[in-house]
Amino acid sequence: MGNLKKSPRLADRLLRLLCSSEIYDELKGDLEETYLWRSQRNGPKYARFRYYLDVLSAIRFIRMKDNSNSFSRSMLYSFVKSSFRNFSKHKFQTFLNVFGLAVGITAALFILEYVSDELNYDRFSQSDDMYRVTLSFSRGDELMYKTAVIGEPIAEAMLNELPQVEKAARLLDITRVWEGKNILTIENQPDKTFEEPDLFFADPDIIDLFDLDMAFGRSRLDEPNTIILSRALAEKYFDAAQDAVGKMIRFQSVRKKHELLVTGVYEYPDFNMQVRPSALISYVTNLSSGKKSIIPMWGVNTCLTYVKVKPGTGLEMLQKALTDLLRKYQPLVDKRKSGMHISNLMISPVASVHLNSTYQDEVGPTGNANTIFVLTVIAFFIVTMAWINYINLSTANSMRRSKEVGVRKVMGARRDELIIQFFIETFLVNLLALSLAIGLVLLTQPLFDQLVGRSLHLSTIDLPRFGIIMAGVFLAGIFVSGLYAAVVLSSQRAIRALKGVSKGNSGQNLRRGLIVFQLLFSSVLIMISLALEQQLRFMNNTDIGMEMDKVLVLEGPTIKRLDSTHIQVSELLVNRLSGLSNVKNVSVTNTIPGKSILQSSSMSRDNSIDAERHEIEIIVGSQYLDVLQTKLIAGKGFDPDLERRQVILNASAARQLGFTGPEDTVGKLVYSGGPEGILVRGIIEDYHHESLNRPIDPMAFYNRVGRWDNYYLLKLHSENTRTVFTEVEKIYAEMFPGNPVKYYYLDQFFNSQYGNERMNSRIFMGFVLIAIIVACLGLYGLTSFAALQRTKEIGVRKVLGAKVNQIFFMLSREVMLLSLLGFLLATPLAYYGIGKWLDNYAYHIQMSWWLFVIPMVMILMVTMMAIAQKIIKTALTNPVNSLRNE
Amino acid sequence: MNHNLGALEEVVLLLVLKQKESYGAELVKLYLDQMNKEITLPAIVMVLKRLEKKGFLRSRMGEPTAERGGRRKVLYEATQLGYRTIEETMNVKNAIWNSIPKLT
Repeated sequence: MGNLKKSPRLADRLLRLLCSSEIYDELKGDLEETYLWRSQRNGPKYARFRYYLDVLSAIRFIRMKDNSNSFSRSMLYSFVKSSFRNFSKHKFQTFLNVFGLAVGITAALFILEYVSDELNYDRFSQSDDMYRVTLSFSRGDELMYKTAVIGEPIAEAMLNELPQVEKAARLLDITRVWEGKNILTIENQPDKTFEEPDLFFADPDIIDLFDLDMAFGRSRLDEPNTIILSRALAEKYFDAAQDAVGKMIRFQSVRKKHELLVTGVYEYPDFNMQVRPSALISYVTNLSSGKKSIIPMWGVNTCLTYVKVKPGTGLEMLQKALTDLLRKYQPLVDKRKSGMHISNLMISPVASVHLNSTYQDEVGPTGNANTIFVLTVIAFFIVTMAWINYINLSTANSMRRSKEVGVRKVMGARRDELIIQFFIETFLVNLLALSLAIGLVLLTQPLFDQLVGRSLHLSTIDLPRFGIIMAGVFLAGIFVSGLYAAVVLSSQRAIRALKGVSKGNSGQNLRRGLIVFQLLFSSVLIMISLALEQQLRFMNNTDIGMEMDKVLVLEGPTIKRLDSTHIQVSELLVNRLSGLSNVKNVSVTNTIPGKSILQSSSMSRDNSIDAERHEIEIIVGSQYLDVLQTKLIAGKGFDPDLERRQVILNASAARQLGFTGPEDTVGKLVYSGGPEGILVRGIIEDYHHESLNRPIDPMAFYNRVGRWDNYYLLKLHSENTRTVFTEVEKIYAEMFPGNPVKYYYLDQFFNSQYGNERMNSRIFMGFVLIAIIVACLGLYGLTSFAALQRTKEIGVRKVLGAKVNQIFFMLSREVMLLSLLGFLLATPLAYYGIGKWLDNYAYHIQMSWWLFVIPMVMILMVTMMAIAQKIIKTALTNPVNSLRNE
Repeated sequence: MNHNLGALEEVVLLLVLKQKESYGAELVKLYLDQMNKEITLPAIVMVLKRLEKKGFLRSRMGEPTAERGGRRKVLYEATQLGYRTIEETMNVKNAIWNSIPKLT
């Protein structure tokens, strides 16, 4: 009896794990005694069984296990201190760690700023019950388009007939009806004359719906001839904003001229607004007495319309009521015969307009929910990459730390204490990185602002929305990266650690996997940004079927006489401009490339009532086609001596009208808006009137401009602009006094349509750069680890006669293979993503092999550069040095 | 402070009172003898700790003995409060028991 077989080691260890030392002592003594007694009574087998059972049941003490003595304040202090000692000892490694993380966090913070700003639109106090009303148009059953601006009478009808609708307000931009510009002037102060693009005629309820806050005066939008100004606008026209109240201001547009009383100045709410009116004129100003609207038709798209419904109104019920309302006012016409008809009256929550608009004729800026999502994902992955680096770099340096770990273990440090120590170190590195990142953000904010074309700040970040997620991701990242590093570092056996022999293969596959992931992500980013860049270049450089080079656009006058005398003035202007030495030819026109065509008419090939009609866009211009140098496929240009109406069609229009070939078309008649046949003089090749993400519409060109002199196009001989500009300004001022002069180059205007694409491309480039930097740091870490580990092997190989280049190849092979693997995994992902994205464009690049090969070469080269220095250094080491220290 | 006694707490407290002073291993043995049922040692110790916390028991370190591998035993003794509480509990139970008609 009493032999020492009694207490099995395993059970003992378990017991130690389960309870505090105090209880352990008591239990252990009692257990031994019970064991003895039981084995006397029931035999040793039973006693052993009961012993295990007892130990297992000791799990009930686990909660009472007291940790206070294993971790104290002084220990924390000591850990922090040794962490900083370690940082200053390995400055370069710490720099890599902190810098990599900081770069990642910086990128993420910038993305969050941008995303927050995009989400911070139209948070009106009543936005839960606020909707914007929209229309869709169909021909037959085919949906033609959906529009954000709708007919004037709709707001009135909804307010009167739907009990759910509490308030309704229209915003009318008069230039949408009559072209031209909105011009505000203060009488006798010609220097206070400006074009105001964001000026609207508005119903009184807009103040309430848009949360506009009257800073001075009050709103009297229910009376005619009143205006309220935004503070910025008031300060532009008057010395101080409060001076504006009570003053008169003159409004002029193509057709209307009003003397308006300024009754108030308002402040914008403190969120972004999709529609941000600079001034509001009372809607009734526009109406002759007793009338409800200028153009009493539902289908003439003029007004942005907002409604506020009673709280708790069901969307489905409301939508049904809207459909009934539509049918009441717009009875269904025979679908086969009619051209376009209103097919649906719809509402969308006002808060969703900015990011989810699929409508034409949007007034304010629209964003894209997908872009927001992709950016958020990128932000997450970049930070993840940075943490992966942290793991790789810190485990790669485990050998360097192994001595410290060994000594600590010998001195009695428990493993959990070591883990806590390394955790604290991780936490400190992350904290340093975070502060550095915040510094970097503050420092480089202007650069980023320029990139995205808006003014952002750290405080833009929507903390209520992202704060918890941010903190959560950050803490989880610290935890996971820190935990892995801590477990690996602390797992070494004391003796081996002291000898400097590290556990070689621990986590190597994980490290490899992480590297592959990093390279995969970088490859995808490179491929996408290449595709973006390529598509952008394609859109800028494609032969769009006309010459925009050296074409100057001069905007036509708004303030002009609306009778035939103006046509003479216009012709005179063309003559005077044509006479300038640098000007080749000049055309008056209603629209310019890059602007959507607002006029259209239905056209048919015969004059009968049930002839098949086609909606054709109309461009009028005296020498429009000559200035833009479009290519005639068939026929001739206009004959100025011909009395009858003549037209030139583009190839799409000819096709749609059912002409079989160009030669067949010329000389035939088409009908539009009258019994008189219009002679087709020629066919031009299709050109892209709008950006390449839109298909080419059928178009008809007429040579009689009439009053539609919205633009003057000047083809210049050379870009020697100085003299032309001053001459043009002088002539314009003489002929159209009181009109602000505005001119720009056509190609710049046309390419400004690609502003979004350009911005996306630049943002992607930026993130590619960041991702590559971060990935390179990781590769560098992995390589140094591999090189260190194989120091002895390399020494032996060199002694046996291996050449430097052989060793170089041997060391770089693994990283190269990993890069290649990452790249191979990235290709299908990128292929799919890019393909999906390109589908948004009616005309786009073909994905060619080099789109994927160039990133591969780049990745391999960058990888090589990242690891070369370390590997060469290792390969050149004198084997004596590596072999002698044992 | 919770003055209620659980079923096991009652038994352990009674056994400690019976011995005047006792410890874990002894109580495991006694439990088997009295109740004719095995019990694990940690269950007993846990109850002892709980009773001590409730103020029904107090403990002191005993002398180390050989059969315990040289470890000291922790001896438990009932307090005045412990005695009173168990007395009351038993009285109540007996009163109830006495009021039940006896089966012959």
